[in-house]
Amino acid sequence: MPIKIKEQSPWKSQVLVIKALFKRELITRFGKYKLGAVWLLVDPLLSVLFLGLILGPFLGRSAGEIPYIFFLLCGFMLLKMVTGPLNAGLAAISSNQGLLVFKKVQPIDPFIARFLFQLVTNALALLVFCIIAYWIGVVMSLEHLFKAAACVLLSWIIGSGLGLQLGIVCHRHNELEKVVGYMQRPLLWISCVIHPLDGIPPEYRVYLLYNPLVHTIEYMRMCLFPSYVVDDVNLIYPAAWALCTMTMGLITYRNNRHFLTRR
Amino acid sequence: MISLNNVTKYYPMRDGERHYVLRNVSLDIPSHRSIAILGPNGAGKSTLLRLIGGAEAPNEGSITTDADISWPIGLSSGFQGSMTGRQNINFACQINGLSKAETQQVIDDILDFSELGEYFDMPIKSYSSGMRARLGFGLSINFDFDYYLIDELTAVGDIIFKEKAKKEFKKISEKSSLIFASHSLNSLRESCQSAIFLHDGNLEYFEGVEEGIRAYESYIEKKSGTAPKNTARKGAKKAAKKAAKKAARKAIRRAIKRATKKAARSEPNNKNEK
Repeated sequence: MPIKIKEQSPWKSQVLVIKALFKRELITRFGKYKLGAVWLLVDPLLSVLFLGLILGPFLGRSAGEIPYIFFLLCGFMLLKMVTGPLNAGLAAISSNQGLLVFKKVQPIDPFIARFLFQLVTNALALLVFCIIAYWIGVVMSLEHLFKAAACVLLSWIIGSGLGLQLGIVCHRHNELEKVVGYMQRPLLWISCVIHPLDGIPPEYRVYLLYNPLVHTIEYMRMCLFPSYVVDDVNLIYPAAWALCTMTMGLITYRNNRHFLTRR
Repeated sequence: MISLNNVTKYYPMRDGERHYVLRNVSLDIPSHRSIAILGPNGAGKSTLLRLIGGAEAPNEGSITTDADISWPIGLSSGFQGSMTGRQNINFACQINGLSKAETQQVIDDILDFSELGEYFDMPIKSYSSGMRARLGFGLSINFDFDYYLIDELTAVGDIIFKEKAKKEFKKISEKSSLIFASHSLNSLRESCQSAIFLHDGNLEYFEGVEEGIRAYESYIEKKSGTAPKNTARKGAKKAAKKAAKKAARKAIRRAIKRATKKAARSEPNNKNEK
């Protein structure tokens, strides 16, 4: 007996679609590994461990009283909050094209699902690392938890805005995907992930401060570790970036929505 | 009823020009009639179905309806290749808000209908086109729509699937309607009452399906200068068969002649050797 599809409110219908796409991400991301979601923690931990082993002795001295690994983890996870959604956005359309045939699935839905997936998974990993740090006795303050969350959210919005915009543009012009890949390489070095802002000579610091990631990463460290003090960073600048990138992304989407549904 | 109001749909081409599929078309598609979509290759039959199904939006104009319309059910649509059949079905059920029990019921039914067996838990990209058609059709008949959009679905199936599909089409047309794009004129005749002929950015609606097919055939005739009519084709086929049979008979006769000659020639040789 055929089932009559119940009519739902637009919001309910939207939630159902995002949920289903989110589940699809979960299955395809972790379903193929035996360790499954454990990779969520192991992946950033391994990359940070290797970086820490190599760079720790040189750069760790200036990280103040924070153990260098946690200093690094903090920056690395926030960097992932930007590059994660950015890269997820690049393939969002092409890896969900078949599902766009359903009227309920609009091209922006895979983007939203993927961005949310990145937010949830990376925030979860960050939380676990924070708990571990707290547990092994790193001095941390919970006073500025809201500001720390703002740092995470702002980084994520910047990444999502860029991901939406670049995802659509790269879908139009395939070559750009390669360029975007290369453009991300220096981010690790110019975003104060592996070294503190204080370690940069003051005359060059100005240039580094144009990068919104420097603000969110350093501000987050300041919030979490009371002994860590940075001048010159604020949350207004990255917030402006978040607003701009998201607006640009949404405009790009609106102008290209016919193109995106095309097979 | 489905109404197309001043619908324009085009695709930008490489050289910056626009390829128009529909050019300012207005049409009311009446309810409770199954409709055949006719048109040469590349005329935009699939695009029309995607527009009606809401998978794509028109560039200008609007398509309004109060009916429940399925997604285009075809070979290329509805499934993500990297996901297994089961995952794809689960996805379709989830976005339509089905409960777990209902989803299980749908899955059981599809397993029974599609006869995919172990392939149900394999990625769709490993399916043959016939398997894909079976899965897609099996999914859509589990939902109750007013219109089912069928895009060349039966073209790839084996005889078993074609028979099954024919039965389902009959069942569907008792309560709902088909909008059926196909190149197989006979299956269109069987399941449709009216026709839409799509060509050069225009839509023509025909109350009777035969009229539509006639218009389509005369259009093809004019374009290519040949007669693609079924009757003509049948005649040509018969003639070809006759010719082939004649040739075969001749060849056999010749072969027999040659063999006997050879045998006759070789016999004295054998004797000499002895």
